[in-house]
Amino acid sequence: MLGSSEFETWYRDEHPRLLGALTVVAGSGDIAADATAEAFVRAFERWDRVSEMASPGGWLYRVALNIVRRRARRLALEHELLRRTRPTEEPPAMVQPEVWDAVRDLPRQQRVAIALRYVLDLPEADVAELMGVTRGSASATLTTARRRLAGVLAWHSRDEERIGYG
Amino acid sequence: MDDLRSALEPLVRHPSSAAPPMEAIAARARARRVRRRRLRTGAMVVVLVGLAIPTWSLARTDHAKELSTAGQSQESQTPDTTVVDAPPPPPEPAAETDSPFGSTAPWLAAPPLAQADVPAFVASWNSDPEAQAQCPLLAPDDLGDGTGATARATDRGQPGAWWVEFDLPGANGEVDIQDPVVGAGRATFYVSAILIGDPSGGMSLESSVNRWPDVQTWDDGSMVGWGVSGDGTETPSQFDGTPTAWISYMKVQGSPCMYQVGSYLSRDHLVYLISHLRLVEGAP
Repeated sequence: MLGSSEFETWYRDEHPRLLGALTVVAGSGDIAADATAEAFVRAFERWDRVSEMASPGGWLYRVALNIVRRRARRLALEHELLRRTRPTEEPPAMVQPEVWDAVRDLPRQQRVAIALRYVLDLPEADVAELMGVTRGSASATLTTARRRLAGVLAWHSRDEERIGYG
Repeated sequence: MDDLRSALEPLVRHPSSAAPPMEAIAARARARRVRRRRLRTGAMVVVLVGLAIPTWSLARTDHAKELSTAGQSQESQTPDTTVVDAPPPPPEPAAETDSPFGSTAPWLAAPPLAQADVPAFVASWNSDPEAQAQCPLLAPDDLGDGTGATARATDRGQPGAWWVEFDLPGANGEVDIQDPVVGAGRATFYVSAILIGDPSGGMSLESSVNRWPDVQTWDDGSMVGWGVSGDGTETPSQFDGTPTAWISYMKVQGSPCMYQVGSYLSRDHLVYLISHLRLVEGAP
């Protein structure tokens, strides 16, 4: 396929970042992995057009966030309707459990903002655009989220220091 | 806020975040194409039916006009003995053609099962007086690809429910509630009914069933909606190897319970189970 090697390079570069960001947004590694895969499939199908875009990554992130939102909604419906026990998701092994718990407890919008800003490393203007809000609103959401995480991050830093001294 | 960035960085740097092989993307894209083709075929049938009905009506009107004109001109000559040809019957509705189910709810189209044939179902049903009063028992009379599985009355700790799981050694399933595992051999498929606790919650059985991509409404008003658990689209497998569960929500006319049939075997197996659901004597 024309441009398939170009796609593959882009896919390999973007995959870890997108998966990491969606894990934060979804609070679930399983949903994130599936949504990441689905988003790349859609990009693959339209690669001739997506590759010509000013920001293929921006398109990918938008699609992926929509997929996560849709899946999370359906899972919530399943849980609510069937009153099934919500599965307890293990924290990703590579993230400090207390950090993970604190991030997962953030409201969804704050998780999205944190994922876009601190996992995908996007500037605030891009975070605002992807979230469909003004830059001021995105900035305020990030500030609130950071404030909520400050405590646990301070503990996390101190732990790291202690490990370092040990 | 570099401490937050560094705390989350392992999510990106960890080897498990690396991209799966490109073949997985290509395979998933192929599966999507197949699904879209199927949906397009269904849509074409709907369009053709939509076109056929007005065309047929128009033809019938023209035909009647012709007959009327011809009749007027012949009136003075001979008595009208023309027999009007019966118009061609309109095509069957698209839903009938597309759906894997007939127009009658499966449990109304076949005789009930004896209680002795489905002891696990009867045990589960008997264990919950609330479910017993509100959720009539439905059990499959044949397990299709799941033949050989063992039925097990399951206590999901859920008041107002009966729940039967089928264990099939070696097949995908759940080792715990919603914990899908390849080759688990437990809860490979299941049939259940749950009394929906809070009718004021704004969620009706109908609207819940209607959220699925495929929906069938039977003659008596019973309904089923089905698809992949957690999603509205079919996925052949997930990249992390998590087995796919096909599940359905079902409304049985006259019951306030949400019925659920699920299978880790295949979409076809789920449809087969639903098609083979039967009432059970003495468990209305």
